[in-house]
Amino acid sequence: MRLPSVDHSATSGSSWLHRASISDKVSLPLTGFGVAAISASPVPLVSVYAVLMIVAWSASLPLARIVMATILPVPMVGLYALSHWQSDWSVIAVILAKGMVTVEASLLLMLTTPAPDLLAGPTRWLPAILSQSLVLTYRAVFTLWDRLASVQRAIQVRGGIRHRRAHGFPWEAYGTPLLRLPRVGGIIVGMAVIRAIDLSATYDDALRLRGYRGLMHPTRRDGARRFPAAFILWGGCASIVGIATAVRLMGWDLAG
Amino acid sequence: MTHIMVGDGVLPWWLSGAGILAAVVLVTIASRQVTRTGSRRAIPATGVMTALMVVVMSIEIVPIGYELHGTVLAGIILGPWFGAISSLLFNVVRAFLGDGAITNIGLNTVVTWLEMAVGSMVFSRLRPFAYRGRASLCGGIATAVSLSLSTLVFLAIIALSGVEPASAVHTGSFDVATGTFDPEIHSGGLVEVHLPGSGEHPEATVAGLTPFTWFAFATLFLGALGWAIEGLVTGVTVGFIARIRPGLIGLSAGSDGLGRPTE
Repeated sequence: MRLPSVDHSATSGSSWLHRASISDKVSLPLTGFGVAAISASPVPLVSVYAVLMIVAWSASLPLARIVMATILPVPMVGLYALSHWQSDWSVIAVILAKGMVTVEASLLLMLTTPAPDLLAGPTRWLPAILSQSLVLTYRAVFTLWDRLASVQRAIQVRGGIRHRRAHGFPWEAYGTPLLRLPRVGGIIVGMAVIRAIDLSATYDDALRLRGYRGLMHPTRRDGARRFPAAFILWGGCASIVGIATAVRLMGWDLAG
Repeated sequence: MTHIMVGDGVLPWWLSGAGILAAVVLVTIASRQVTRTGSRRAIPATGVMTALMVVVMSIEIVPIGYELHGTVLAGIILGPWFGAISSLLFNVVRAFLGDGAITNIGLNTVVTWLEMAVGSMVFSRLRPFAYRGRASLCGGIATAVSLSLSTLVFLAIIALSGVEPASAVHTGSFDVATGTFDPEIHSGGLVEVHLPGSGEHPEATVAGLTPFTWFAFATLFLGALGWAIEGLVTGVTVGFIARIRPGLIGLSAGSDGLGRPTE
């Protein structure tokens, strides 16, 4: 999923999950990770996927985008699963479902937490060089998106990617032939990189002049934790992981 | 760009753990190296190149299932040590926004860093040619060499993920009374240990080849198309940067690479 749309969702939402403290929301990826690590049957994984979808729906998150984001890695994960083919479709289903659940759980955290809150923790305990690079990475993503989006618009107004003259434009649009695309792409990337490095260096200098020492501060204090959200998230995490562990230990073959 | 795209709990724990350990060692050494050299000015470039990989990550060449990432370009610009930091940050962001596999961050960091480091090394070896107006070609060659090598490492990791070390080293608990090994030392529950050749699933074959062999062929075939595309784009980008800002890729303007001024 594209970082700008993730950032927009995190900063513009006001649901109970958006308002929940990050120390409570960490339970979401932990739930996905825990269930994926423990489960050996597709049924618990599919159930957790559905539960996390209900959580996303209750927080008014873009469900279609989340589903798409969880499906996108499927071809590559599927190839891996087929490489371990043992005449058992449930093994393939488990490998695919593990991938989808962990992507979904991580996205729920990212889609409801503004970047300063996400980065505040790591900037305190990571080595300075890592934390400063992380903050500048976050900033640079938006710079690069802007550059690449404007180039994409430029290609579109030139008639898009085609070999013949494009019709329907109020100007002469000859298009960009497909074979020229790698060359055009290389120049675009080169321009974007040079410009972004210049901007990033200026941004870093400006931050330092204003007293930045590599620490990010969260948008709100963790003391603002709300009881129902903490109870729902941590209680849900413990219950789900507990049930998944019980299913595995008891050897219940829920698939049939 | 090669990375292991499977969820948590799929790869064996020993493999994911070894990857995390290797990544920690790598990034610790890299942090010390870059702190010692004091090249603070490279931090913004590290942020930008990491961001570039995050942005390009969302461009997938769907028919061949290949994702461009610009790792070799990042390696050429950042070098191996800042490349290690960039590799870790990129894989952390990718785990939370793309693949979700937190336990594979270590392995992916090592594979991505390998691409960067080999790309950087090959390009620096080819630098004399780059000075003669062949920067694009040198960038393309560095990309192809680096990606092909990292794909082989990727395949080796996938092959290793099918190995249970317990099945290779355990012979069961020794029974003093009989002087033999009890084959079923652990069975059921969360931990299962099997003897060599005692697997419950005999390996299936398709047209006489194992699924992994087919997977390796498919990866190398589709990967080769991806290397060509990525090599082309990286080559053109390197050529462009060599003309506009040669210092960014270690080429100094007005020199032929041997300390002699050019016209």
